[in-house]
Amino acid sequence: MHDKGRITAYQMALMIYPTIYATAVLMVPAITGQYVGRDSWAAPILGSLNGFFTAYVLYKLHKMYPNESLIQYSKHIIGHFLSKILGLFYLFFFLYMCGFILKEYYFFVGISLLPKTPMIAIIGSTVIMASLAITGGVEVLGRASQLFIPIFILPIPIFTIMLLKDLDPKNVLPILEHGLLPLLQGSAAPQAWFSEVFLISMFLPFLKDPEKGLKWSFISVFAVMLSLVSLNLLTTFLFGEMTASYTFPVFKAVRFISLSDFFEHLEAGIITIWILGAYIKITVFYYALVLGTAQWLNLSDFKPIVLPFGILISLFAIWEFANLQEQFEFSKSIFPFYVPFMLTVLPTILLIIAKIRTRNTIKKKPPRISNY
Amino acid sequence: MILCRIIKAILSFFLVLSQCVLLTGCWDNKELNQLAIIVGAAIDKEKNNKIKLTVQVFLPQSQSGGQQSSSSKAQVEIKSAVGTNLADAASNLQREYSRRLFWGHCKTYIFGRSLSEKGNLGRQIDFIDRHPEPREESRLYVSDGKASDILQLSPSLEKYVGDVLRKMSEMHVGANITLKDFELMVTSEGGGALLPLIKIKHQNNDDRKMNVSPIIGGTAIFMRDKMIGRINEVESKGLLWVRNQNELPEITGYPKKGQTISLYLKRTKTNLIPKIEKGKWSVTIYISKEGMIVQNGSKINIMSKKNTKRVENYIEKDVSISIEKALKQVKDGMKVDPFGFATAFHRKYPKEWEKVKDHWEVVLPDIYVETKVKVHVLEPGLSTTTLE
Repeated sequence: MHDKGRITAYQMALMIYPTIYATAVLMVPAITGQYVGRDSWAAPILGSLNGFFTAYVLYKLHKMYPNESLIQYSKHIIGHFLSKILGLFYLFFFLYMCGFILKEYYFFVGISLLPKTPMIAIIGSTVIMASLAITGGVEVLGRASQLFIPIFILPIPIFTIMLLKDLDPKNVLPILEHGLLPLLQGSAAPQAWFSEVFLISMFLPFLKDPEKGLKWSFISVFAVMLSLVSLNLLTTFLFGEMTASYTFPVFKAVRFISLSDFFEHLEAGIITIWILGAYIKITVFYYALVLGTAQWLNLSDFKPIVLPFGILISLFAIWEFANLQEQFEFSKSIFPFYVPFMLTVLPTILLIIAKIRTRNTIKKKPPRISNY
Repeated sequence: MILCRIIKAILSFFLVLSQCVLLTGCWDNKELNQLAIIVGAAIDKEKNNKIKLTVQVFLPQSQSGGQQSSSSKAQVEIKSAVGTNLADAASNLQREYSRRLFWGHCKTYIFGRSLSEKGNLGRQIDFIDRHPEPREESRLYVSDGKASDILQLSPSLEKYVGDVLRKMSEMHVGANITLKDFELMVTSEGGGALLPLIKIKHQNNDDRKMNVSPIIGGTAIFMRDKMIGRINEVESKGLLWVRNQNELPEITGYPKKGQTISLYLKRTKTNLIPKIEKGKWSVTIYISKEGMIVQNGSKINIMSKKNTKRVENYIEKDVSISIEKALKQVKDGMKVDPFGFATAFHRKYPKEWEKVKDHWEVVLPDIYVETKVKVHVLEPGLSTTTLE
């Protein structure tokens, strides 16, 4: 084991919640809105099915190889050589995702709060903070999310109450006017985000109470689904069909709050709060990258490679997308296939192979579990 | 060992210190004394497809010092610049200011009538929508004449014109339309939209700038983002009631010639029920209003139960007349639908709507509209009889 820390299943759920939700709340409402318009509230419900499925697959794999992460146990399933190649794919994917998340947050902060601040300052400061947390190990991540995530969830009900007087529930009618096909298209993006629940694979081996792992992963996925549905309903009640024409509909909705002349301009507050969630999300992916690399290379400790990878993910963030339109286009067309392929399809194939193999070798001897 | 610890402490100290540098956000700092805060903007048409942007900039009190009597009026300064669009005009305007123009507190945008009638108002509104500083809840207006004239007025109660208009809208004098509302209407099914229309009222033919106030006198009717007509106060009242918005709370009914009876509305609610029967489209407008009698200028004894019904009927008649006038002017005359009929049909009959949505303006005048007003008098006010 590279990390001596232990977390509870509840802490893991608190880490997974922002891992899916923190960036889903920014772009996904606009992307779904372009396909389904006022039915966008239904898309996360369909999308979450993939989240539940992914969580189930990874939990099953974890049950078969309880003390290892996917990077490690894949060699029992597909052999040493193939597993190294698969591991490399995953590590590159994590690296790419770190850059993706950082860039998305840079664009968001750059539009809304700090237009003139250079990219490297926003990305760099986040990466420095994230690397500090990662050096502390998984326990620090667990505690940090336990501290931040309640603050992160709280604004949803508060802002909904503040917006109540401007909401018009009739805006969601007529429901499913153009049939189910647009809804399926619209749920492509949310399901890609939901497949990020894959990261439980990195945390399940650290659980104090592994038997609760599946339950809390499901609760986490369900909570994200509920949050996305309620926010999509909120923006539809407020903006109707206009929702899809805004870059960040939820942000626009918060800007709309104006109560008796003094409760206004609340968006600075919500940006600060959202940065907490994005911070957890980046930290989780960053941690998966660093820990996975250590496991892949059989290093004895992952701490020395934290900072070098920090520089690398900052560079990836700077390189990845030239502008927000490009990232938007990517999230709409490639992301819904790329991410679920890595995070849902490949683990499912692994699970099927593992099941077949264990059935064949069940008479011989159980798979050897190696402890690093 | 100790040396190692000291080095560690020093290093972590500098690390914490380096975070402080980031906290200042010095690339984006905006101090109050570096900003010229815009509190109202007017956009007019100019020659050669250009626009003229006129802004009111808030002057901080300390600047207008001196020994003169405390002038509460001279708190805003008005300047204007010409440009090809709003952003261009604003950047031209910036040349005249030592401080950066800041849009975050501008909650009133007035569009000149000629610009609105030219169409493509959406191209100007895009700036308010896209630029991060202007607010979604800012209110939009159309001025009857030049929009910049409205900003020149110095109202007596409020500090600047923008405040006057916004407070009037919040009180439901005329239509109360925010940027978001306007966008929703323009992109709605029927595409009919409305904005409050501002006029200038001169007191006693006095031409001085003092005590000349802007009033919301009627409504400008839009088809998409092109202004196509205007209606007066009575018709706007009817139009707003159909849209389930409040206008001023008092309604007066006329039992006989020269006799009046007035109701102060406490609650009002509108329901549009669309119906398609045998290919015939119709809408029933159900309006229910509740209120208290505040003036009885008639011979009716309002304390009897039977007479209450009569009073209610007189007021119902007044409400229906406003609504019918609005329908006649806007639905039949201008052939637009700011009432929300199209949306109501779309919500209830999505399939039928699909067939007519491309030629809605042809279908609209043929739609039969029935108005059912129900007024409910709750209280007689504080007296039981009249002096007569």
